[in-house]
Amino acid sequence: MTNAPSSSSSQQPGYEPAATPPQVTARRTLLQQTLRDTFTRPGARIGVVWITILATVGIFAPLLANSAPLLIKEKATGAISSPVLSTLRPSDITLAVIYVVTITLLLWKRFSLGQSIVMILAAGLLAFLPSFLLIKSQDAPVYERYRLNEAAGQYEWVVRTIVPFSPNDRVNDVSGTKLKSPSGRHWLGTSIFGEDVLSRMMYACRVALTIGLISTGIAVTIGIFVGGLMGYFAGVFDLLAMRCIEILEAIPRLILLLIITVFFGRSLYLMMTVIGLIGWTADARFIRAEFLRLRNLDFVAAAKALGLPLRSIIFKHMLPNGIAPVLVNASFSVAGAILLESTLSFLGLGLGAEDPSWGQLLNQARSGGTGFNWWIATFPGVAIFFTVFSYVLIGEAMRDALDPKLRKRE
Amino acid sequence: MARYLFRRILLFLPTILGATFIVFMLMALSPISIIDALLPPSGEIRPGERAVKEAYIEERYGLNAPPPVQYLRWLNNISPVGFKKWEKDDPQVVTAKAEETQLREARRLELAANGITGREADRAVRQIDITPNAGAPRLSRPAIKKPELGYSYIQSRPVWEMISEALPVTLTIQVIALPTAMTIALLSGIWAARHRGGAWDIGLGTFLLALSSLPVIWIGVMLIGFLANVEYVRLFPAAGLHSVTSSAMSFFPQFTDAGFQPGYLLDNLWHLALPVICVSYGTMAYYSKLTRTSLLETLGADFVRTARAKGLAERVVLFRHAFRTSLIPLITVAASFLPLLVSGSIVVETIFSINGMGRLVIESLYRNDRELFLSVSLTILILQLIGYLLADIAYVIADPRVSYD
Repeated sequence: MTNAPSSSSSQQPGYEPAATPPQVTARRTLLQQTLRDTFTRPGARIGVVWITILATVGIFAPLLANSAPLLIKEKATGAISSPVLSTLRPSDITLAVIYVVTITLLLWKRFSLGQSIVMILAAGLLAFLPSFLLIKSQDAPVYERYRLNEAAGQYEWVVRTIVPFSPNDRVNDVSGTKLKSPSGRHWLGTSIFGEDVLSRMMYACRVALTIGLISTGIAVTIGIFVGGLMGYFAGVFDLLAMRCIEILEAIPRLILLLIITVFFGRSLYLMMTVIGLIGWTADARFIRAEFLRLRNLDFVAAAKALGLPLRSIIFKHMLPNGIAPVLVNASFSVAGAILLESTLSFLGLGLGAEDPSWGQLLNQARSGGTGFNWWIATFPGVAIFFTVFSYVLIGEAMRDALDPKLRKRE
Repeated sequence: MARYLFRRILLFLPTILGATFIVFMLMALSPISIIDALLPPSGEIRPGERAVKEAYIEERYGLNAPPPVQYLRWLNNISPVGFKKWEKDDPQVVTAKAEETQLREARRLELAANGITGREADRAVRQIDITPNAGAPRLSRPAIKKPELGYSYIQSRPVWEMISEALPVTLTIQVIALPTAMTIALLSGIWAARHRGGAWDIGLGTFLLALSSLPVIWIGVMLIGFLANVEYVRLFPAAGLHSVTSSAMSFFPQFTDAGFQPGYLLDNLWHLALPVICVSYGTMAYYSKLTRTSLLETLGADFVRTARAKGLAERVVLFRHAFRTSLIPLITVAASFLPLLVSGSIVVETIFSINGMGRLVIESLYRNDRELFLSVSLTILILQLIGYLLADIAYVIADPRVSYD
């Protein structure tokens, strides 16, 4: 704003030019605006709180629930050592590093989304490679070792983890620990094999969150890719792909997952991939609908006229405008994947007996031994419910944040 | 309209073909097969014995053909339009079999004379195969025939028998659960739309959201553990659909000298109560929220404003004008409930020990029973497609603007 020339100010002594120029509002991308609107709603905030608790507990589970103590000082040699560190695996360390980096980036807010993702992945890789090389593979751990040594008086002092039991620790050194109700020693009781329920639930957080995120990631990626091409080109490709989508949707998800789990072996990675490969059709439909609407708009014609490459038109120009329903659906997708995995574990067809899962614990409540064991039924069920409810709340908040806005714009 | 329906029914075919192809291929290409189910892994008393048994099973059940050919044979069996199969007592088959046996014996003697016996000899001998074999399709005789769903080799029963025993049980549960759930959902959704924004509406909305995210596995276990348990409250029975003495009961309840006798009907309903609750609460919660959203959208339209301006009572505006229009998304979702008839009851039937279709699916998977599983999948597929067709018909009835011609 240029200052008024002195001649005019002398002509109109009462006139004062505006002191400051009008403020320019902060420009945010659609994603930032959406996230901001979503997480001001109370429902989404509750959901995020629970999921953060879950992620923290799951990622730091080896330090929170372990049969090996945090620190011991031996009487004989006087050396202080940390047995917990010898039980850590490369995946534990990688996850912890990724967690710390993600929290830092969320709070620091200096970098864009793409830069943040690259930094997180780089940190994960940097943490994984050395730990993979340095940590030797371990034999089957002897869980009773530290308890027996402590009882024999070998340690001067012992600092244990909060929950002093590993998830697969069947407490063989004490008799009669199977199917015990909650007590001072086992805060949430023991399972059918004598394992501590709280410890298993903490480690099961990992499985739940991992399955949810990775399978939704796979589904969204494939869905965006196929749906984008279908919507952009329309015509014959659209017809053929639509038939394929209908055929894939004709088979119920649970049944397809059951077939693959029963006939192709049980593995966490296989289950994640398959849930993702089954669930991409919904996202493809959403993206296709949005792209069919967008392709007639002027900016797409302009992009084509400018000769931009196809990947630029689809991913940089059309996709940010059409991603809204996919984001909403992604949250419900994660909830659905967690439920699907729990159901499969409940039916006995999930992961093995070694890997803890909430559904597996529920199965033990029903079929295990004498009568009904209320502690194995209540607590894992509450965990599943809270997790699914959190994602549903976030999804609903996102839907409320996105849809009225779109209507206002149009 | 009739032409549209005919076209839609024709389009069923590629969907059924594609879906059954995927399922069949997944099962056929898996590393576990029917051999592992029928021949448990064990040591051999004589070397080469297991190989002979495996070869016999493969030939008997047609497993030595490549998977696409196996799929085509299965398709031929189940479709009403196909090729007749060669009968066992057809003269051509009989002569071919006699010739085959003769040639195989001769070859076996020849090989034995050269010192080749055992597994290799079997393999070489089996390569002599004179068509037509009994059970193979006659490609020269297309016909309209009775579809056979197959024979379960694991349970030694025709598949059709097992499905006809299990399907009515599942349908009973669903036929009671679905209309109840949808009625309650419609009523509560309409009520919430009318009292929009109030504390009750928001409270109900959150409650329904929580209800729809309660996992069925948890609720089923909790209900059966607390409400059907001698240790806690014994309101409901723990398992099955009938009491032990139900076959001796009369159908309707009676007052006899010994007091109130619940008849067969009441006994069945008492057993059905918990499974129906488990199956329907999620559907009810989701559908109720959907009704509320859809009705609110319609109530913002111009024609509703006109109706109100005309001075019509709120009830008339709601039920005679707005409701029909808001039915369309509700019909889509209701149509998608039909395939859940079977797959949605898998968990509930496992928890409550009910012998329905869900239980059949799980059993067939545990025992690698391919025939049974394929037939159950086919049933689910057909139900789904019928559901979509019914939805389209219902669209036309609900919305006069929709026409498919």
